[in-house]
Amino acid sequence: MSYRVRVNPIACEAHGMCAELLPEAIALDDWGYPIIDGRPLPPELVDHARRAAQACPTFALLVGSGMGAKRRSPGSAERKPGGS
Amino acid sequence: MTQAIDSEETLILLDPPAEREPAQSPAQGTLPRLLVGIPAHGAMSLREHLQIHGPMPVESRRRGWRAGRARSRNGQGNGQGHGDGDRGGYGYRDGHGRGEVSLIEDLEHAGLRGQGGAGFPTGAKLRAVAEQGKRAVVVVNAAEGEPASLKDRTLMQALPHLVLDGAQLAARAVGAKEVIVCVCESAPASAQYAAQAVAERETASARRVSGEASVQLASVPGGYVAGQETALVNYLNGGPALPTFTPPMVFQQGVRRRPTLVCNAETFAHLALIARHGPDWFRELGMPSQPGSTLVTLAGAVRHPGVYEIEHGSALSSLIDAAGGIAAAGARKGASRGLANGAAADLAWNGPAVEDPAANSHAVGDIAAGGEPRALLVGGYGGSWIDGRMLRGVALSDEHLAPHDATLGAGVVCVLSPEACPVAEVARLTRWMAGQSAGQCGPCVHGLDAIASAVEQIVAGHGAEGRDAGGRGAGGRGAEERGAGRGGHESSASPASPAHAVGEVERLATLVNRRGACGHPDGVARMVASALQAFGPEWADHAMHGPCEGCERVGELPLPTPPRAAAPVSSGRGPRYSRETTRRSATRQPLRQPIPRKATQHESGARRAASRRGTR
Repeated sequence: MSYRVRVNPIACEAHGMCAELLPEAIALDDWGYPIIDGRPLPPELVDHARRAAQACPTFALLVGSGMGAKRRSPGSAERKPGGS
Repeated sequence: MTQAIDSEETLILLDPPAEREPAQSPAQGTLPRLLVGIPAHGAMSLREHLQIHGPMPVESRRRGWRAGRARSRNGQGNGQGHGDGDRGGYGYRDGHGRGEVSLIEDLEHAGLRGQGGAGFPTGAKLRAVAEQGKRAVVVVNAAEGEPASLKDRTLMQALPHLVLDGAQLAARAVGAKEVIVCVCESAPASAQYAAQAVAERETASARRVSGEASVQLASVPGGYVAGQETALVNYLNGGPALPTFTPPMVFQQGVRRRPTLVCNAETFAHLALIARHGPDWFRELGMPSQPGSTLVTLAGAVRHPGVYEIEHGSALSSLIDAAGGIAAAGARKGASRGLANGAAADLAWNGPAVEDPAANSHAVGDIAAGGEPRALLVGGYGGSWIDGRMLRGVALSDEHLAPHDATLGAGVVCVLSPEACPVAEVARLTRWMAGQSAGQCGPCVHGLDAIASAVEQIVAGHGAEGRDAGGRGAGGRGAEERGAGRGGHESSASPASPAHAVGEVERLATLVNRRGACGHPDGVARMVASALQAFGPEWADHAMHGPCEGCERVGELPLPTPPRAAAPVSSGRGPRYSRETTRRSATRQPLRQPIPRKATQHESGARRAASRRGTR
């Protein structure tokens, strides 16, 4: 069961708790917003990831299985604005 | 039928062609298909629509939308009972002797893809909605937030019955009883004619003509991201026209939390014809990888900009020739002077299709003698730039454009004239696109603003030595200046060199990619990165020497002018970023200031990571 970390960019307000608690997978960009490594988490980090998700003040960090590689699902391609 | 068109939108300026064939049926394997019989003014009436296209296929008497069980590929539905049968394919009697067929299967065999830009296979999308097994909703997306695109408002205004037919057929196939047609609020003529078309269908007594689903019209705001499918659904649900986080995807939960099928208006128009003529007919044109015809909006430095129907894979040169070739700014008929309130006030719209592009003998393989385009922007303002010198033999399909790192997208083709300055146009577009951010995601809000500023700095000549560039000599932009500037600095890439400035833009573009809730930052990143690739010498030249003569003429690509009565978004703290048009809902809090990265944060994180490794 592979776990991945994901951020809800709308809820995220750049508090930075996730990068503090899971620096192996999360770095911060120029403005303090998380850059998530999209690869599956090593098993020993899964608990740390869950703690980081609990620590997020806006519940923007998500830990889950099967969230990973973008399958060509009816939604994943429809990120494009401009009138899909 | 020809009522006065709203004066803000002089959309229809069709030249009556010298010899006009009587409107033929699209049943033959030629162009035009969608644009057959498109009227010069107003909308095609229901009667004329039925004369040209015939009625929609009749639903099979023995099957209803709830219990339809059509022939599936392997003869059975899947085990859950949600296979081709129950919801996935309603049965209708094909008028060409195929017996009972399933619309979803037909769409899958036809290979129709979404026409709104993302190009998702339409059959798969309908199947996904149908397989939810619940009452669904169909949304027709004619919001068309892409400024240079005219095809959707053209369809809604002139050929509404084609789009409505497609929506009704799709509603039957996915189990929806409700169709919502979304038009841009700054295209009132489209809304007007669409409403007339809906009223026409309500008075027609035969169900086969008007379809069973109820049809409502919705007027949506004209922002760039308002047409993104989650933003559209958000708006229809009473929220702002801003994207939402997924999952759930709209095909799972959309309008009123129902499975929702959101497709572009042109997609429904193609669907209406595939249902009548079958998938093999659809594949007679186009290419195996991208079958059928498509509408493109040709904008910029051509004599007759407007909407054209082309076959996938036809040559760019023949399209430009059909539009009268490259035109200097003054000679352009209906030259784009910008769009008022998002409506296409000035672009001439041209109905007849590009007939048989291969036979256009004086154009094949050669850009017409009127000049060559300086550059092409394909796929809209979130698409890709291609330098003019790379355009020989370019054809319009995703397969042909792939070597240029481009896709057709929503079929917008913008042509830059030889007199234009491409980097100035890029700077203008980038700043506008940055202003179109929904304002919800930090990387987009901050990142696009940073990219726009960095690009503007380069174009203004601040990209070298950290000071204003010395301006240009009396001789203008000589090749020797460019050569000297490039050779001297690119190799060293010192912090104040043009290469560094360009590298910074590339870094920011990579940084924002795929980090928003929608694809808006991805599009800007793609557009800017392709511009850096295509116009390398120009970037370096501007970084060293500042604006050129072409910079003064910036504005070839149309952008909406700000609305006249721009209501400021007030959330108590005031808007944080001054943008041309503010899209953020007044109820949302503005984004916080970015937290300065404390050096200790990085150190403590590194210590934490190290300690974790140590205890293992």
